[in-house]
Amino acid sequence: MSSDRPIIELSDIEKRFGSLTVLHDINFDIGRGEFFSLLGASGCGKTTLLRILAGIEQPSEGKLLIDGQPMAGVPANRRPTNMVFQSYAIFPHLNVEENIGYGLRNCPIPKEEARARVAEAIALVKLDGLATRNAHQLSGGQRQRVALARALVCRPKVLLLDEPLSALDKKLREEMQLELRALQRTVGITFVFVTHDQEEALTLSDRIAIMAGGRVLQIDSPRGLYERPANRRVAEFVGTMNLLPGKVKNLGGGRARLDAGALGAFEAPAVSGVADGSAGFLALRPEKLVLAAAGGKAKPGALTGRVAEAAYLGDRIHYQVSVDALGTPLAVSVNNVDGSTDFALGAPVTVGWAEAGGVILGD
Amino acid sequence: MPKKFDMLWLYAIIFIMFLYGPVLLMPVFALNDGTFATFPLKGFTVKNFASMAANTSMILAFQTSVKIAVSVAVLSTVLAMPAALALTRYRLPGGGPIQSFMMLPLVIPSIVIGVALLVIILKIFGIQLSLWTVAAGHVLICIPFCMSVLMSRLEGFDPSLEEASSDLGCSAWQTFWRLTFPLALPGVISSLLMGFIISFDEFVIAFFLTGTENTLPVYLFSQLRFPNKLPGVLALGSLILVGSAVLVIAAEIIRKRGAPSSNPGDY
Repeated sequence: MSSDRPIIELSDIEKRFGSLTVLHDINFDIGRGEFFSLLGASGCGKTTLLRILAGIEQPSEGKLLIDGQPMAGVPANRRPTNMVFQSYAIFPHLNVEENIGYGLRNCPIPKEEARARVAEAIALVKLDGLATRNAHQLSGGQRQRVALARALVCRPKVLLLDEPLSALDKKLREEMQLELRALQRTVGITFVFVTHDQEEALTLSDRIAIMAGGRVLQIDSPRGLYERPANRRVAEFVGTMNLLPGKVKNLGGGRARLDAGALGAFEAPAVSGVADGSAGFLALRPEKLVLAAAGGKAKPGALTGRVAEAAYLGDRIHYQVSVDALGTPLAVSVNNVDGSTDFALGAPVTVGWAEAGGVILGD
Repeated sequence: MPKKFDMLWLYAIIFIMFLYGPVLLMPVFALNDGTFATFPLKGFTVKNFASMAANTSMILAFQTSVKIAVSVAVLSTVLAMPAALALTRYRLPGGGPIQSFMMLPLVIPSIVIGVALLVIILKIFGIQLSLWTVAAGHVLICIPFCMSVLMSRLEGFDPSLEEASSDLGCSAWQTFWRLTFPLALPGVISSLLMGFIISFDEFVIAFFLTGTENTLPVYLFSQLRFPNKLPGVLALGSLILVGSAVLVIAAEIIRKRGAPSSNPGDY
């Protein structure tokens, strides 16, 4: 098997439960050693897709290859994948060691090696000293580590993680995110990670598939998704995005011009697939916007408005600036460096941005 | 402040007396030194209990009942387990009606079942009545009890446990023995005890379906025709009462102790 072949290949996957179609037209590959996230709101089909990879569910249509092998008719217990369940599914009648060693009983390896691998896995997830602890004596974080070790000890080609951090409190979750990322680099196994937390997905992933309504909206790196969302739905899903509506004129060379009526016309880089003459948006992230007191020399292309709302976050200040001819106020986030970015409520301001800071995208 | 007499307490006491009073009279008369079960009591004796050891036909009936009850308990539990698994694990088409249908023997009078089985066994299959036919009849009435005990246990645990087991490489059969069975064990024990007690105490079906050998309840009934045997019957009845109570309480304790907690994956 050539090593540059994707570890997972999905083509035309569709999944129906009765008359309800929960996955449409899923087509993508996941590369070897990738940390790949499926991100979407609950009910978008991400967990179903993960369960199809695990073999717990079967696709109604389409083809799934793992490491080049077709997976049709291959049950979960014969797949080179292991899963960390959302509830962790720690076996309550077994202790930590027995839980972790559970899958190894099904591997054709000698007992001594199995014991060594369990010990190694316990060390890997930092559960030293808890080997004989019972399942019900473990905290949430420890259960999560047991589930992780139990799945990794079988050395799967792909590790599937179903919202493994959602049951942990915020501090522990952030800690586990870092550990998970480090762990993935150590073991070098492909991780497929399901989450509804976009921050988590951005922090951890090499690539993210954004899902909604059973479809994949965009697959890209965290930077790509954030900086160049494919369309309005992705832009609104990932982070906060200001959208100025207008009509697109394609300028060629990856650039476009948006005619936004009373607001003016703006030139900016365009995402691919924005059709000439169609309705589109100029998308601006709050932190790319620059506020200045009105009356000074306004930069060309700047908008004028009034501060409608201000939220002091310590390191940053978030403003809502209402602009005439724009229905929703603009969200602006500025660094709290010195007093120059302090504006009172109702103060007239100009909102500017560097030309490369915006991006033109379709609906 | 004088406490007002609580009518509910009175009700509760009468209720308990009504439930257990008649039954508790049995050991009282069994220990009474007289042939007739009447007041006033004549004196304390244990001779009714002591003489049981010499009563070979009774001991034979006891052995028969234990043999049948053990086989019925095992067989009904083994048969009820797949049904309980199917009804709790899969969304079967028509699962609801199937379940109600399987619970039906609970509400059919056992005399109806007894007569029906008698007709089928003798007239249709032409099989001779024996302890085998008694055991078969008992399995029929025990299965619904075993099923409900097993189902209440199986319903309690996280379905992702079995998915995890399969994900870790276990076939369905391995998952059953390594995961489902150990977790369901309290339910299994409770189901075995339940089956044993029901079969051991059952009279009507045993009476209809037995051949030449008697089970203990049938033997007891046959002894009632002889007034002088009454004290012995009372003594035996008292022992069965105590034994059954101990087994039922044990079954409940095992089932309750093994009850799954609200913490998923925990017990």
